[in-house]
Amino acid sequence: MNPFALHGFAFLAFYLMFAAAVVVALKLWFVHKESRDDATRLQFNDPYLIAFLRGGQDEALRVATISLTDRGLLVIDGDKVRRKNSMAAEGVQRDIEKAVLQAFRTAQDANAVLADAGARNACRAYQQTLEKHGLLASSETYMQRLGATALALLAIVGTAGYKVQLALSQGRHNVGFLIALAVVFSVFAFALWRFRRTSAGDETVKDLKQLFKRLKDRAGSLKSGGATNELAMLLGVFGLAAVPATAFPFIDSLYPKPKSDGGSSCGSSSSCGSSCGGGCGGGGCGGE
Amino acid sequence: MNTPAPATLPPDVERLLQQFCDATRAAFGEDLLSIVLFGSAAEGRMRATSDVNVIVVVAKFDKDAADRLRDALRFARAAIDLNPMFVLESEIGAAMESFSVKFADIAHRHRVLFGKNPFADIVLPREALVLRLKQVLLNMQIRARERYIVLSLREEQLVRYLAESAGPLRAAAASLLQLEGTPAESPKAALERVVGDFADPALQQVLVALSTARETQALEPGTAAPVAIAVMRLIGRLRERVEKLA
Repeated sequence: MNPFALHGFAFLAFYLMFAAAVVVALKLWFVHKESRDDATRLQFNDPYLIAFLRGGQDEALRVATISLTDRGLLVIDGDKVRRKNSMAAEGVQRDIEKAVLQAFRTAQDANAVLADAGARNACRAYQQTLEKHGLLASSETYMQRLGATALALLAIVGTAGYKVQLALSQGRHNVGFLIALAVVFSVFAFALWRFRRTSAGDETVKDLKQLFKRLKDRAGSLKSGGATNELAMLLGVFGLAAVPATAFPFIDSLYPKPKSDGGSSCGSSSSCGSSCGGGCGGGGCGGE
Repeated sequence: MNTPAPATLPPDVERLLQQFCDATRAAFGEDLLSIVLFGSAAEGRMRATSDVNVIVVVAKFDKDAADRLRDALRFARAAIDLNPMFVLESEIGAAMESFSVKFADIAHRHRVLFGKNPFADIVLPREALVLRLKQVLLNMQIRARERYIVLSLREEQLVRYLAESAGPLRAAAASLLQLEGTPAESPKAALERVVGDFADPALQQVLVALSTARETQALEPGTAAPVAIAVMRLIGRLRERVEKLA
């Protein structure tokens, strides 16, 4: 049967399934090409590395800011954050912590560190490590994805375009839905191409969430003070939404949740913390 | 002495324990003698919030080795609440005497993850165990009074204290039964049996409340304070029974 002989809703139904199959096939192709056995060899002892993998540079810097505040090396001064003293940076081990402490040498808004050149530079090593282990897409990965994505886009746009041309030549102009579907599926394919994590990276995040499920379960009993890295790990793996505000009230001072007007879809939903746009201080909490 | 534990650890715990063992072996090398799992994990009875306890027996505690282990330990502690006890081989006997109630339980219920069984040839002197059991229970009693007065208006904190007291109470009951020559299969079962012997319905309710507090970190509003008082009475009954030991 020639699908192009179908008309109206019948063709739309066919196209919907076809385009969805193309996008799924594209995703499966990426999974096949990007799965790496050696990804698990990377040691994830650093919570900032995990945060970077899960939520990117801003997320890693937020986790570092919260962790250093919990350890008392950063202090909240009104609505600003500053380092406790100039000695603070000398006692920390990780470059990102040194850079964040340096960024807060004068009192700043908590989000100011996200734009600090030194702090951003300190994150570059995470980007390189994760790219090297095939967990984040590198420029090479994007190039590898390009061919399959172009083919998928050709199939999605080409099929719709041919049908539109056919319909117009036959005097039918009800092609709006078809064009809209083509645009939507093209955006999906483009988003798959642009996605920052590789399939191996997705698998690693999933694996870490499984490994740290028990930490999430006992999040309510964590103690502040930074004696352990549990808060940083919890933040790194699950994001801000997993941290109980009652145990770490200073986090709300650093990254206040936006006031709900009660009318949005977020409202007072318990999932708001991770799913609503700018929640938790500018996005990224919950991570994905 | 060693009771083999059923291999029913959650897969993530099993995997992280293996990683920790590998890291400890790599860090301490020839100086690592044994790694022994004890507590609820050794019994295969872990709850979602259970910690994981291990004893690491080393020939010597070397700074460089300890530094090499740091990252792996912090990772495992965060992921599965791993609490290791680092003991020199030469300290085992002294540790067992000094903390005999705890070590009697460990010696009875553990699983060797690496190396030889450090408890295989060690026998706890009965007198030492009785003495330590008396000391532990008296200490618990004194502490329970202070905790009640300080925390009874902060019910959520009192519940946390009750949850934390369940483990030592169970261990004490297990030691008591062991000294009486009728060891129980687990500390929880030991406390249940001992409380059953008392034939006191109020103390039975304490058992239920302690389990609930441990598992949910919460009790019905208004119940924590009476439970805390009943726990003191339970400790008193345990002490009376220990006093009767020859």
